[in-house]
Amino acid sequence: MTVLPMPTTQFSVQLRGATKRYGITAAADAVTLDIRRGEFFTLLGSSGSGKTTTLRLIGGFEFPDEGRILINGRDVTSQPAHERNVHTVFQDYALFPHMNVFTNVAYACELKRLPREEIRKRVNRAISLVQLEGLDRRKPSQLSGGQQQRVALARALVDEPAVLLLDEPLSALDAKIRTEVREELKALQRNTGITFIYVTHDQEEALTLSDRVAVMRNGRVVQVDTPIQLYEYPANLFVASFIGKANFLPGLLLSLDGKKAQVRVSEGVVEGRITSEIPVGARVRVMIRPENIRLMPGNSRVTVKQTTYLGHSTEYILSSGKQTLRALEIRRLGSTPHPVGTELPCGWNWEDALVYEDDGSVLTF
Amino acid sequence: MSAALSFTAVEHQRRGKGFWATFLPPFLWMAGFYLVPLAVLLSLAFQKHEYVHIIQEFTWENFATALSPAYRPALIRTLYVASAVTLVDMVIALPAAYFLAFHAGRWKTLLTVLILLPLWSSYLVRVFAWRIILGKAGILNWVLIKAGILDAPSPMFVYNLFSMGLTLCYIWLPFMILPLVTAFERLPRNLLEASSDLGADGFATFRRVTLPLVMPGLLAGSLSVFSLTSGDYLTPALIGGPGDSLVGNIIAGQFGVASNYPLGSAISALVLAVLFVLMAILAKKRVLESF
Amino acid sequence: MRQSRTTKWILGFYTLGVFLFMHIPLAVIVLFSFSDKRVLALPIRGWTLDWYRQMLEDERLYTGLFNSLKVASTATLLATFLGTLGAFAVMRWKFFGRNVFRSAVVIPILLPGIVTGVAMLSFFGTAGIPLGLATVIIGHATFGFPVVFNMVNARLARLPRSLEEASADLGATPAQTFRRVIFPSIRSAIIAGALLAFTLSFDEIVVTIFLTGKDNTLPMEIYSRLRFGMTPEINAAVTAILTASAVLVLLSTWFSRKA
Repeated sequence: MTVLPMPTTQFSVQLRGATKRYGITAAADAVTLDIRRGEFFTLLGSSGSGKTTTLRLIGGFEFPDEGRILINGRDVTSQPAHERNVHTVFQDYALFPHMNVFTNVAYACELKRLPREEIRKRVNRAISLVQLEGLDRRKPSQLSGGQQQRVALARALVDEPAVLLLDEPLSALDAKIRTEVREELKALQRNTGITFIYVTHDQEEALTLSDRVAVMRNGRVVQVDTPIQLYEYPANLFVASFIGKANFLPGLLLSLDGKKAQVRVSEGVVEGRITSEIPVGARVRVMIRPENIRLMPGNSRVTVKQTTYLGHSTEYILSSGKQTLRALEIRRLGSTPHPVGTELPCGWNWEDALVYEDDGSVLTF
Repeated sequence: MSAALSFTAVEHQRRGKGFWATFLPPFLWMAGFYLVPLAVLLSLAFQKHEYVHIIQEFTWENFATALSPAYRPALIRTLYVASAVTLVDMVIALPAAYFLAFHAGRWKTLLTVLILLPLWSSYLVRVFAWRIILGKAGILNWVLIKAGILDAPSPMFVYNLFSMGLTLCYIWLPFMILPLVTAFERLPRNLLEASSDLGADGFATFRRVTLPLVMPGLLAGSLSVFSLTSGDYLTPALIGGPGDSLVGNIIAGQFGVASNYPLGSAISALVLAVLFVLMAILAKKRVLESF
Repeated sequence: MRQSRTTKWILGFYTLGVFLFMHIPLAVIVLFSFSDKRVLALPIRGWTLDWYRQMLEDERLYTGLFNSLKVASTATLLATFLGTLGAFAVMRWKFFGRNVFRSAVVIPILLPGIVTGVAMLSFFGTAGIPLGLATVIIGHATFGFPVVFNMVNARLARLPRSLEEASADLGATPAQTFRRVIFPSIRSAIIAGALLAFTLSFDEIVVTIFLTGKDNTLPMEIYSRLRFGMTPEINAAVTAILTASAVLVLLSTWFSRKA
């Protein structure tokens, strides 16, 4: 049992070694997080990564087997959900079917027995925050998916909780409106200043929305960082392959010169930046993002196998004979994409490539 | 997260006062007013009977009497009649249930309720209606005479095995239809489409996919009809022939005029034993959840 | 699944046949309640409402009716109380023997009425409890309970757990959650089950025969008269009961469909 630091008010939510087991598996494994006030914080991972469990621990729907949970400095580990000043937007919205929009949104206030006028004021404010005016009397079954979600949001915001938990709120929406709603959520968080804790498996969502992201895997937190840091300096192979697209060249570490590493790959020797203490001779992977591959005089020659025109850029699948590489080239006016079969030189700046120890955790597609 | 979870057991909630407050009343009632009476009935089956008195001595003689030639014909007749009624009801119900589940569309619920409405009317009346229809002065005779098939009214349609069987089929048919309709409803349509996609015609799909999947519902319905028919004593009494009594009549008699509770209990115990064995077999096949 | 239209029509006609099979006996009863002949035989020459008038003046029928209403309402109240509680206990908590209990609840409806009847008769006899309306009530409540249980159980199973969590999430204690969220959602299922249990009790004869004392319910009254043959007056009474039962069952269906 670790000694807790003095409660600080800089952090909205803190988890200290929170563990939740089901049988012998730990759905959440010694999760330690510090989430700042007013932050848009995302838990990112695939199913089974523990992100939902962690969210439910914060919400009070599960109690940890080990560890502590603090909200605004207060230890709430043993407090049930209805005593925590934290509200949740559920994945299936969980709108009360027998109540209309107004009564749904007013629920938290009615429980506190606030005066009628006060309730009406707050509900109207919440409803206008999510831009859902005029539907007060409708029942949830008469609303579209997007509208239901707004009601769920308004209902959770109506009494200004310290923290808002969102469980994959965009997954049930049509792809079309997803981007729209995404931007609205971001604006909403900025306007209200409430701490948002967001759960998703979609890394693009996580990167565009969040101030910081916690990447989770098998119940553990693997890396907590800003989107930029996660994208440009992933801590390990798992995060590197989970976030964004990348090429991973297997090879052997030949030599080190400060941060610059020389790696023997099947086509020859390439260079990259070392990410951790790796002994010379170890098996490594060189990660290079498609947009960092330069089709310019360099180490190797490759043949174009496939060209995909994306408008603003062109994606190439290149083959060196032994390896396949994915490259992305921003289009310049007037230039045409290289046709299939062209032989091109290719290489990259050594600082743009990252060298990781090969622990077998690269996700293959 | 909770999208697919329903109102099921919440693990972290300790089984406190809430559980006992909701569980005890129904449990105690069932135990006290159903299980205990069944136990009393069973215990009576093992006690001696002399004239009108029950002597609390352990004996097997009631069972011996129950299986003796005096009563065996009735037991066998009951098995035969109950099986026949179950089969007939199965055949009647299947196409109708299929139609309701697959082709009735929006009217499915209404039609099902309408077809099952007689279930909720008086049992006596439903039996008596058949007496009116099948009787010597009854409707069937009237129709047959008008149609020229008969010259004079015939008494052969009523107060015999035929009328009893027919009425039994009629009375208990809803108990076959209901679980079947439910079973057909629960059948995922895409399985049937997959089957025809892979080359099976209508009949083959029915035989290979539909029928096996609705089997639990079919068995549940059959169990109900078999069970309820075996114990039926009113229908045989009201519309059966003099020699057509079923085991239910015998039991009723022992608890009525004959006042031989131990014998009646023993016969009941035999019936129960058969039914429980059937239930146990079907419970293994998870049929009981189809109710 | 594409089936030929002929198949559909054949099945449709067949189902119509089943429907007629189920209803013709009842239609016969209703028909004869308006016939002016004492004998229940075709052809019907004249129509009359005399039998209904006679029915309304029959004191014993009235007593029977009142007894039936008394029994049915009390039994239904008991059955609703027990059935709702039982459905809750089974749905909410995992306990040892849960599946056994859930299957056991169905048994009173599954076993033939005679078994329930004689078992309870033996029990009351041994325990020295005199037979009367009270014992009838107990009998009716015992198989009304599974009816309500099934209805409420089915509705509870369709209630997403997230609703309960959402309520707690927004600050409601378990009691508040029950009152404001759970109960309103199952209310119509409870009513539907209660209506069915009431109808069952009102029409019940098989078990009632063994459990009545000197007070007759309406079906018992009719049964004792049927021994001497069916009279048109009974026809009228039964048609009236039929109509009432039909209304109750249709109401029950309507309630059970209210999501």
